[in-house]
Amino acid sequence: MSKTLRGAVLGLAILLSLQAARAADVPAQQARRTVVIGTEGAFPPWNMTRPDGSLIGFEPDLLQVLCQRANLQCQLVAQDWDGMIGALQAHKIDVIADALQITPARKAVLAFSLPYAITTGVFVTQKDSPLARMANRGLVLDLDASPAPERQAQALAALREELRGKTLGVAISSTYDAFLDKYLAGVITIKSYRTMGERDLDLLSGRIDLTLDDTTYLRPLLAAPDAQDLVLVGPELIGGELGAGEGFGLRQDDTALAERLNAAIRSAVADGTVKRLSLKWFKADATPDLGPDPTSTPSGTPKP
Amino acid sequence: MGEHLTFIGSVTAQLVRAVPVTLLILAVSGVCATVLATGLTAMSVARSPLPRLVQRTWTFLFRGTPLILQIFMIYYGFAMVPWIRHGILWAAFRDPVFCTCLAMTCCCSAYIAEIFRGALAAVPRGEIEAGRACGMTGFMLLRRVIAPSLIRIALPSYSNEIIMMTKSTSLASTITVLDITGVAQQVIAHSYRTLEVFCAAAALYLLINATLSTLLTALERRLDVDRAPTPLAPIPPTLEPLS
Repeated sequence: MSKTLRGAVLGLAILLSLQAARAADVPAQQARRTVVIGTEGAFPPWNMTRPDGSLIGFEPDLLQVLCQRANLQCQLVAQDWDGMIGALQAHKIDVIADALQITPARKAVLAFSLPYAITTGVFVTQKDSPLARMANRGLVLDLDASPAPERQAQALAALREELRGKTLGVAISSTYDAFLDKYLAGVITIKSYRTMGERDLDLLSGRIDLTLDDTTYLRPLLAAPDAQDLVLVGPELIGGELGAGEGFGLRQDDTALAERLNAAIRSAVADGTVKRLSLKWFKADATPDLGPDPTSTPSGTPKP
Repeated sequence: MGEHLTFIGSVTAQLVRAVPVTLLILAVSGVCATVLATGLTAMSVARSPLPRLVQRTWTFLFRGTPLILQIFMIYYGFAMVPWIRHGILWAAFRDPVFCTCLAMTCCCSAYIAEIFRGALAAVPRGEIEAGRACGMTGFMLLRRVIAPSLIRIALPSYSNEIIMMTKSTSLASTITVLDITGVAQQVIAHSYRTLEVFCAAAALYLLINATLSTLLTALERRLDVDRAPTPLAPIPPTLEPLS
């Protein structure tokens, strides 16, 4: 193991099989390319660091498949989330793989691959908090449904009333910033943390009243022995400001890499790889609906 | 270019609003650390071994561990202790500004106490003996002879420590305090523009430190009797009666 860079950068060699990548996925002319993929290594079950320093989780597993299919030599490095977009723009990494939701706000500064998963945002609070009895528990609020049906408008209004004056903690630059700005600005106090772990500690100690984060992160957290005092509350959020699923973050001028990753993602969604890994890590199917492939031959047309 | 300047302008306006938070942390921990350091210095020259041991242990612990760990231990660590978490102290420990001030007071008092201790050792023995010869004892000797010399000797290093403290206040941003650095990180999180924001934040710290060092240098000159620009006050013809 090389001891490098702040003791936090850890390499994960992804072995490519000797056989050529399948011709259907990768055109023969695409040269092998080395890409550095930044991940947090602290966002289970998407990505986490084992005691020996190796990275495991849904994303490392999926990337092993995708890199092979896209003929990429991938190196996975762990770093804190708060500097990741800067590192991408400074060419220190080429891809962000950190359960990054494809949101309109982020699209202004990043390019995204196709989504490789789609998940909801949920609220978590302390069991003895008055918020533990928040309404609409389990209701899935799709913020894209427009015009918003009456039920959703009601749920959002109820949310505003219930959260009035409360303190909500989120990781800095979180997916939920735009949602919070639009629906809850002036109603709640927002505290930003550098990492989810620090935020979770303050939720446990009661410095913040509740948090909003991805269901795939929070549900396993609630099962941990230290988190017995926490409870999932309120509606589940999806769409709109919360984005259209998790995709890889890329530099906007790196369209070649986007195309290669997109083709690989399509094939991994089509052959059930994404579903298999999603069931393995999330215990639920988070496969996104990618729609028809615009580049593929229309089905039914006989091939020459 | 114009767009850059407009952005830097709006960022600076946001950051300036966070300056009072930075100054509050600096003022509270600066004053508390100095008072505590004075006590520690007194302990370091005590006759009985116990206060000396306390002072040495305090310096060993707080000078030997990183400030950021002390901040994390007080903020996150103490929140795990049931009697703090559920006791009356929680009102204070819940607040990140209090936790930062407490950590900085403990840490910086260890450094300042060492500065004072060194300065105390450097006070010329002749001055103290002269004071004794004039019949001064205890507090009067301290106030008239030791303290003036000690302050003059300690001031340059003390100024240095205060400037280090100003920069250390930025660690408060790691525990959700919206000081200059905390606001800078928030602005970056929303704009994804790092260079302009960090430059604006750095400029504000420079401004604070330039002001502080100007004030402290002026004080140093004022207290420097050897190079005093104005003639010394005439020595009173008779010594005040000693009590």
